[in-house]
Amino acid sequence: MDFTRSEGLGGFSLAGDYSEAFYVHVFQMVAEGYKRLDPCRYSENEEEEITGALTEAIQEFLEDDGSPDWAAAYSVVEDCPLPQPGRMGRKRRRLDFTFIRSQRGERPKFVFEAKRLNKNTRLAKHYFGQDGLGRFLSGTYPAYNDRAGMLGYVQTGSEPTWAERLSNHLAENHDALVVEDSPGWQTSVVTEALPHTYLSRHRATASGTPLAVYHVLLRFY
Amino acid sequence: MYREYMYTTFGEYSRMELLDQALNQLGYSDASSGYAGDPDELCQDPAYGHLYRRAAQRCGLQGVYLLRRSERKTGVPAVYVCQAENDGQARKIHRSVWNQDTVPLLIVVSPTFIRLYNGFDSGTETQRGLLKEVDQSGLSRLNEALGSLTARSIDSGRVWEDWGAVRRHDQRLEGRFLKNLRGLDEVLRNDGLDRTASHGLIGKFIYLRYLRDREILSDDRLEKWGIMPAHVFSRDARLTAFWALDGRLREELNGSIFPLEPKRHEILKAHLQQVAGVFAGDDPNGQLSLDFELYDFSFIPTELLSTVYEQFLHETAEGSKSGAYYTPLTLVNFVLDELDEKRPLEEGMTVLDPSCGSGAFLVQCYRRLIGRKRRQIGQSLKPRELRSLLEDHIYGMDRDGDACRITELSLLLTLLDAVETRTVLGSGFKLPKLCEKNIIEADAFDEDSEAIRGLKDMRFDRVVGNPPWAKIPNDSEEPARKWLKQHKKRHPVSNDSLAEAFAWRTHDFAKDGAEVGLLLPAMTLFKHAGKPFRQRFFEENDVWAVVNFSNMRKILFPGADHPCAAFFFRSQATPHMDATILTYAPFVVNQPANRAEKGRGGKAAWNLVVNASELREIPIEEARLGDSLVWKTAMWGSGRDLALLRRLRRRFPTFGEFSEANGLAMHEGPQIRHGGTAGVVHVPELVGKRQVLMQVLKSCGRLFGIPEDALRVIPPGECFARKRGGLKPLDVCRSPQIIVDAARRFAVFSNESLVVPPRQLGIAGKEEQADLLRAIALFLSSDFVTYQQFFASTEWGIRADRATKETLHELPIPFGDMDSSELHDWARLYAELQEKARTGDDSDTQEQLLGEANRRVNKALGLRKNEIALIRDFLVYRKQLIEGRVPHEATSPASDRETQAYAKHLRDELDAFVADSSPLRHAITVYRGEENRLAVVEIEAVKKAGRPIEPEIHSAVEPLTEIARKVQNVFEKHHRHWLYYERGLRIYDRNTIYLFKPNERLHFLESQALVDADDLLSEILTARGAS
Repeated sequence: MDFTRSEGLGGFSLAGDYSEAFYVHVFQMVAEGYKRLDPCRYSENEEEEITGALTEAIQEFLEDDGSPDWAAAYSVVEDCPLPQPGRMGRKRRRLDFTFIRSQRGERPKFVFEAKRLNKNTRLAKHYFGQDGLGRFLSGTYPAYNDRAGMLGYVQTGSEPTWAERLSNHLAENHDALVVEDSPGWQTSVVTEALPHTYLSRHRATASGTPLAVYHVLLRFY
Repeated sequence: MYREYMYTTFGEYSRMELLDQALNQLGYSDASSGYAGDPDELCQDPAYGHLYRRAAQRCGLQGVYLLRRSERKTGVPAVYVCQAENDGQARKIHRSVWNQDTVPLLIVVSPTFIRLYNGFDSGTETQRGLLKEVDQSGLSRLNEALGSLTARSIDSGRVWEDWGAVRRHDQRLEGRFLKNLRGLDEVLRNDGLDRTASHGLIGKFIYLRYLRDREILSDDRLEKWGIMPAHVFSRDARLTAFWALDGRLREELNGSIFPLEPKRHEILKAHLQQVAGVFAGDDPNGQLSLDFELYDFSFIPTELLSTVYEQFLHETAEGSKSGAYYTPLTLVNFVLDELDEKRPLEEGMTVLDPSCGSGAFLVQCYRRLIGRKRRQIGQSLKPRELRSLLEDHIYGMDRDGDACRITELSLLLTLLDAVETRTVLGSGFKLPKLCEKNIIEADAFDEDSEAIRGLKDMRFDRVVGNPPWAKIPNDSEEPARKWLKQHKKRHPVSNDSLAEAFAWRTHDFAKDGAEVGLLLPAMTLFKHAGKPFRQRFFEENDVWAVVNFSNMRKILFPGADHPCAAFFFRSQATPHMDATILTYAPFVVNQPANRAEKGRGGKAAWNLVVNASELREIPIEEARLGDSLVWKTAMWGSGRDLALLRRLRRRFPTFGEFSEANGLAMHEGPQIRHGGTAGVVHVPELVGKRQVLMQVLKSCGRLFGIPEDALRVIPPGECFARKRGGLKPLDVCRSPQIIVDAARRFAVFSNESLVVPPRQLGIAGKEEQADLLRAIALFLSSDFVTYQQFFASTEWGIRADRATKETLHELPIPFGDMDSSELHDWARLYAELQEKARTGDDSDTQEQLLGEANRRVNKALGLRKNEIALIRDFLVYRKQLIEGRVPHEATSPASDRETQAYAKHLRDELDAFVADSSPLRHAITVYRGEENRLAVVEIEAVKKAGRPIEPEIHSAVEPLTEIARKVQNVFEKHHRHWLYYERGLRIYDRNTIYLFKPNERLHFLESQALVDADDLLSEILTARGAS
């Protein structure tokens, strides 16, 4: 069986419109989940606890009778394990959030890595390091269609302040984080419900392919 | 080759002109047709090349019409075109082609006639096998006379409407040869020969007949050896001549082929004459009708001899005990093709079949090695090269010595197939001895066997086979039992499945990362107990494809009960982190060349076409959860069904939890027995009670009351139950109760205490719970429950049409938040239905009430419009495809209204997907052919905000003509056989997508619109560079 889509989409000129719709759905799901939570309850919680609560809330949205029809075709998976040589069972690395359009054929996906942003956060290590954005850069985590996301759970300070710190850090570590010069860090609101969404562009260190990373800052205090 | 006839003229045309004329008339000369007219090129084909070669050498084969997905892929031969000199030669060609058992239709072109023969019917009686004849005067109208044989008809599948009946299994060589072997074995066994001697003598004669038909044992040769041909190959056979020939062959070629020496004293002249006579065409006792005179062993493919012999072995005691069963050749080739796609088998790679049976897999592997080597060096292989290819690459083992010997014979005949006749004898060449070297008679789990240890040390590059599906015998001395005891923690096996143990055992023989292709029971994917096996197996192997043949069971294995699945994996390897398993469950309804003309299947498959529209991908992580629902929805549904069923499973309590919380009893009915038998106990409670008779309800549909004729008072002598089953089942035989059919056709509430039949379920509660039970009965009678139970059941749709108690336990039930008045309403509706059913009239009102019940259930579960369509379409159409059925309602064209509904659903799905981010709208136009074959759905994406665009339906048009101007080149070059291979072909062209599909209702259901929308979106969203 070699039914790969070797012919591609030929000259189909509107593929971008559909991709855009997919990303809008992903961010709408994050927004809907966030809307169902009481952020103040999570000011002291660990990242895994917030991720768990957010996943449940997104799931609730997806299963709600009143949710839009498109929602029925999506699922969100928390802690999705990755097959890796030499790592089996619980030892496998896990993706924080994976949004999957559940259908037959190859399933479009979008992956988020989640990190807390509070007074103990060391950006270089926790957010941008090997256990953060670095996972996408190194290819340890897959970036589907060269796009991935970081969720910043803001537990102290404001979202704009953290956005500035993230932006500065990127600028200062331009080479290490293989940041593309233009346009650099920019506001990129995919849905109005998530106003603190930013975009940075990189090159994956392992593959050399372009990588667009969306940073969504969610207040949890 | 038949080249000598090429330029001989006769009458008006030269032979070649005649052939050209015929090919033109049939449309085969068209470059875009599937006709392959270069025999040299055909001979390169890895699966069929050897057959084409023989046909080109001896049948005047000029070309083959192939069904194929692309130019570079192996095609399935549909029509042979041969040239003959005269009537006698044409008949001979037909007989030879029948012996190949490969191609259903044969056209023979002669100077005076053009004939169409049935390639699967030998034509023993007058005219049998001849389907049509056209004389030379009709040549100019050949396309009319053989209308359904034109390229266009074959490409569109119309050929099978006219000639589908040619596939009858009972006329094919495979079936008849098996029947004849059985008959001959029976005669020999009745004459006092034991199994080994009988099989040995038959095997030896297959070998001798092969050598004779190949003219290796020519009259000259026999004369040189002082042996009269009639003294071996006729009813006048003599032991002296037979043993003399056997001795000569042992000396000249090989001593190990079916060694009969140990049995020499048992084989009497009468036995020999019996076998020799039968092989010469005699009837052994005047009662059996044997066909040996029809056989030409130089044409029968060795691999076919091998598979037939495997069936023959199975039918004798040894085979059935060990669970061995034959593997159809189409399946063997399918498995090897799939492995070759991953990495072509070539010189230097070793192959093992750990349960080789009669060697069908090994023969085909060897055949491929020979073909590749021949292509590589550009000439035929020398006998010693063939010998080393065999000895250095091909290995097998089996517990059954007879199977090993037939494997050896099959491999050696394959070697001889590739050798020129004149170089076989007298050149000093000897056939290798394979038994005890390459083919080991041993149990694959026997750690004490030196031979097995030797094979383990070899670590093979490829492991293939169809391991036995029996249970591991409960005998502590059995090697497999010992192995299981040692390994069950790391390598779990469910229900003592020998096949699962074999799947693990491949680790001990295969190199890490070696490709493995095994045929295992399809239930491996579905059974509850198999969860630990699935979890571990998908964890420890890089499984890249699983093909589930459940729906094709009856045409792939006529007469067999157990469906199979092919597993393809790299042994002990880790898949890519984002890997998916390609899975595919071919449905007979989607196999135009295999499906029966009407209703249920019943013809044996002569090919296996991989149809792209049925492919699914399962993420490896899903497979590792071990959940059978993933495989069930992959076969019978889509990701939508999986998402729906999982959502409801999370959202509602299960029926098991609900019944426990409400103190309801749920159990299968008691096993009632006659008194006086061992292990039974008298149950006074049964006296005077009535029992439901399931045999009376065999063909019933939805019921709301048990008909009187399906009830009987249990006679006093039968008021006993098995002690072993306990008396718990009696709890559900007290009213108020519900009787739930195992096939979920009905759930009947009863106020009379009825005895629930065995295997059916009873649910019972307290007196005051009557309303609750009525409400439950209403729920259980809904479409949703049938749908959910079908998917949740491990066997339904795979092997047997039933669900179990465990399946009902898992059913999500939406009664948690209902207050008593709501439940009372449900109970009242059920009571109304019961009343209507009791009075037996006013079926319209009953339908309305049932519709109301379904609406209530759907609302209580919060089902969306699209999800209701999924359920409805599944029950009305897809579920009817069970066991390979091909119902007319599914394959007839959709009405205009249905097509319109399909188009609107497709449009709405696509519009809704982009609604939040783009002004894109979708204009859908459906072109439907006049005949029941092709439809094209044109989807134009238009940037135009506003109201949805009304779909257009154009019926009774020639869709290809309409579309041809736009995509003709792409279509004709690459997708000629879309009907066979890509029944959901999509072509993208600027802002328009063309969806090609059969003009059949099944492809225009509302639920299909959702699947089509999902497929399109998946393809667009995951295409490289889509972002």
